[in-house]
Amino acid sequence: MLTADLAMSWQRGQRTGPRYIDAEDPGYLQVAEDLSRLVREHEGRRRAELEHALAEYVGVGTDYKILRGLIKLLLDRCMFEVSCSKDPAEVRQTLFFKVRSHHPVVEGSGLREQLIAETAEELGCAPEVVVEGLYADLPGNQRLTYFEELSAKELLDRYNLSQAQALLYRCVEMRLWVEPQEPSIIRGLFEAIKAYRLIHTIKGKPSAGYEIRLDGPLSMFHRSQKYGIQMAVFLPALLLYPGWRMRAEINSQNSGRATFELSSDQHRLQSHYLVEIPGENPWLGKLIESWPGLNSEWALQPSKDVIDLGEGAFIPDLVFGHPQRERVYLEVLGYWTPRSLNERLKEFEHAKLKNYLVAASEELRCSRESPRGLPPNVILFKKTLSARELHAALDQFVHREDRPSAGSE
Amino acid sequence: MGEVNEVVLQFDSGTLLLDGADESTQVPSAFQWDRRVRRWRAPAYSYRQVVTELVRKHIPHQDQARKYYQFEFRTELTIEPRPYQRESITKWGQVGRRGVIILPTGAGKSLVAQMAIEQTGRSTLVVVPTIDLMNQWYDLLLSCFQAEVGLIGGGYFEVGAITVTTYASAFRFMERLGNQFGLLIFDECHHLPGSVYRYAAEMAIAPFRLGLTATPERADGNDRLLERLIGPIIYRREAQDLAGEYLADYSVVQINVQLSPEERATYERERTIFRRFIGEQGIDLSSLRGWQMFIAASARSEAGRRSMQAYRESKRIALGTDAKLRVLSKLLQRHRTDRVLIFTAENEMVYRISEQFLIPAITHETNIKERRQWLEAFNQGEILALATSKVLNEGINIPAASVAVVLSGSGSSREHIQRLGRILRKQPGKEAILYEVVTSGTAEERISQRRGSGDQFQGRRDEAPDAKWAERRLRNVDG
Repeated sequence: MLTADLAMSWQRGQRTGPRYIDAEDPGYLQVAEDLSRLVREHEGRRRAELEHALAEYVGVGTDYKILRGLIKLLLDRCMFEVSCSKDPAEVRQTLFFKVRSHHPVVEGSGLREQLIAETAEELGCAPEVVVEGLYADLPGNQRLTYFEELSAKELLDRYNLSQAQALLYRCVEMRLWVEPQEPSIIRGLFEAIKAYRLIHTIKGKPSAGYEIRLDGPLSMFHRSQKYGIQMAVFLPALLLYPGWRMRAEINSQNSGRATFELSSDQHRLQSHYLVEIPGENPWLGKLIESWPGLNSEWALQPSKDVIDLGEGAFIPDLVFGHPQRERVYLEVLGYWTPRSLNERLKEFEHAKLKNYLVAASEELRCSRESPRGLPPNVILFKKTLSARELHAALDQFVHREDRPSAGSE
Repeated sequence: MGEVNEVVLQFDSGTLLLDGADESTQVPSAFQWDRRVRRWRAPAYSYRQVVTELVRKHIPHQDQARKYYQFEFRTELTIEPRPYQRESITKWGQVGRRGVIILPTGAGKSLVAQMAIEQTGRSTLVVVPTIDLMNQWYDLLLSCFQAEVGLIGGGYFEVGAITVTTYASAFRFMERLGNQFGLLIFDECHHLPGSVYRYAAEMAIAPFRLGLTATPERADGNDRLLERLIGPIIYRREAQDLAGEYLADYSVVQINVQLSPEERATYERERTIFRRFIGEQGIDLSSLRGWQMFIAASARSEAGRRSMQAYRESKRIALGTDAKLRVLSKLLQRHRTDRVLIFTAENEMVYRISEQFLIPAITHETNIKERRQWLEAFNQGEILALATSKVLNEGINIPAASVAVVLSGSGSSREHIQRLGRILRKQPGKEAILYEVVTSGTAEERISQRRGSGDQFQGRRDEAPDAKWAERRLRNVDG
């Protein structure tokens, strides 16, 4: 990511946006190529030399901010290491403590050379190693040992994404409008929101889509850009999903606020995050097909609801409808552990949500211990869930709900 | 269920949450209903008030937020506190250990902090503006407390009974660790209200807070925020109240050096490029606004970028001239038995000195253990000189140093020089001396002259003899 001083944006009235570069522009592609080559050529050499060469390349042109941005992204992909056969700290200790009886070491006296030679002998190395090793651990003296290369086009794409992220550093609130979607996609999106420690508020209907507002815990006391960095790292995750519009409120550099808008229709920004968006469970379709064969009073349908649980969101896969009863939702878990399942149930409890079933496959359980003391709305199954099994579980759950709360004091 | 519902106070990402309470529950006034998560939420800094109200209103509660501990910090006060230091901390204790103390630079604010830590006896976090200051505080706290001292920042992440960190780090970790400190000390606390740093104070529950500064007033009027984040200003002494009585006794000698003909030629060439651009743009550099105009103009054209380069290059020459190293060599010979501290503005110069004279260097890049090792060796007399860049400053305990050499002191104020001078200790029968080495005929010299005018400090013995005198003294040393 870029540092804030390398961020470049435009503002017209209430609107703002990152200053992108044309990732197809032959000039910039050449620059990206040149910079990568410079880095590559410095493998094995000192960081200070590399930085000097890069600064020379930047020269006195007025596009230096763009070049420095590209350089920052390249340096982030470099590894520098101390390369000296002796530990520099040990070299310093041995050498500097020898000075006491000769202090001060003045030029031309030959004393410096003598002390270095003594140190070399003591450490069992050549005098040159002492001289070079003395400060071999300084960042500028460390050597480039690894450079994770990328193509010129990739670098320019990464630069544009980084500019969009850098604008979000100053974001105080983000709003997303999400079209009606497959549950798995919406679920993935909410998992990403939670993973980046953002708090959401949801408004909307399954038929029209949802409006999601993102901010952080402190935002309720005063709107703050405290969560800007989290929004910035969330952006590449967002880019993986289809069907959204985003509007970010940005603290403008001069004064006031401006909005930065983006949608999943854009083609400029490419995410480099590797997240597999889970597909539909293939057997869910079959389940819906075979359900009418049971002749149940309950109808089964795919769900497009998003139910706000406060800290999380409940995105059911299926919904059971009944002429006289409240609808019941079913969520099929992906990978899970007894602990994650328990936390999930606590979230439902906190949100006072009761009419739901959770189905968890034994095959996707990621821990050796099997869960104990599960409530009746959890269904464990092997590989697939048959319509008959599901109906039985639903029946059991509904009848238990019907009974007066037996056993409570 | 005859039992009364107990509310549970939790720390959550720099805020407080109340579990087991719904919208209709009576809660302390700092709480607001957070519809997003359907719980009561309050800013973490209101913790003290929240707990007070819970107790006063007899609301059954369980405090799971607080994760800091009580300690008995035994301190070894190596220095007897001055009366004003004692007074200030007594006052702080009387107002419930929340407030800001204003003392002039060099008046020993760190000793005040040390007394506050001892008196409070809770897990403590000291927040400072820079990594350099963080290292200094670490040294200081290690030397005066028998306690585990932790560091967060500069590559370290260890929480101790006392922990030192920077504003920038605190801003980042307080969200997670804001419930682990009972006492917060903000050094140079005028940094707090501006920018995002204030979140560091907002996201912590610490009931006890101490702010230390020499200059609480900010141009943006944000200093009122200090009262909310730390507490009111409870004690104040100005420089003139203390000068004379408590200041160190030392003399300042200014030495002028000449650039070599080659350095002079390059210097003049670069200065001309720089000045021509300034002239063409009609920029007046004597004001702060002028400097900002130059920075903006320099980014807009190649000529501007070149002039910025020229400015940097000429500054580098004036600061790093070989002539300064020759003077240093003479001074080291002259004071061959004294403990000498060498200050420079740039790291590059420190390493040059270190490599040439085989003197240990301490910069912000020096790791903390090695830094301690060199300081101890210096105090023990196992090494006689230390080179450093802006790192060793006020507050550091170097009883052995009696001579300081400030090379390339550009941009440093008179006050800065004084501050460095206070590190020095007068040895029996000898005076402490601070040498300031300035390059003649450069912008640096003009800065130094400006620095010399208008001495607002009284009671200070300042002997700044002319350059010829200093040169003569040096020549005498050479014999």
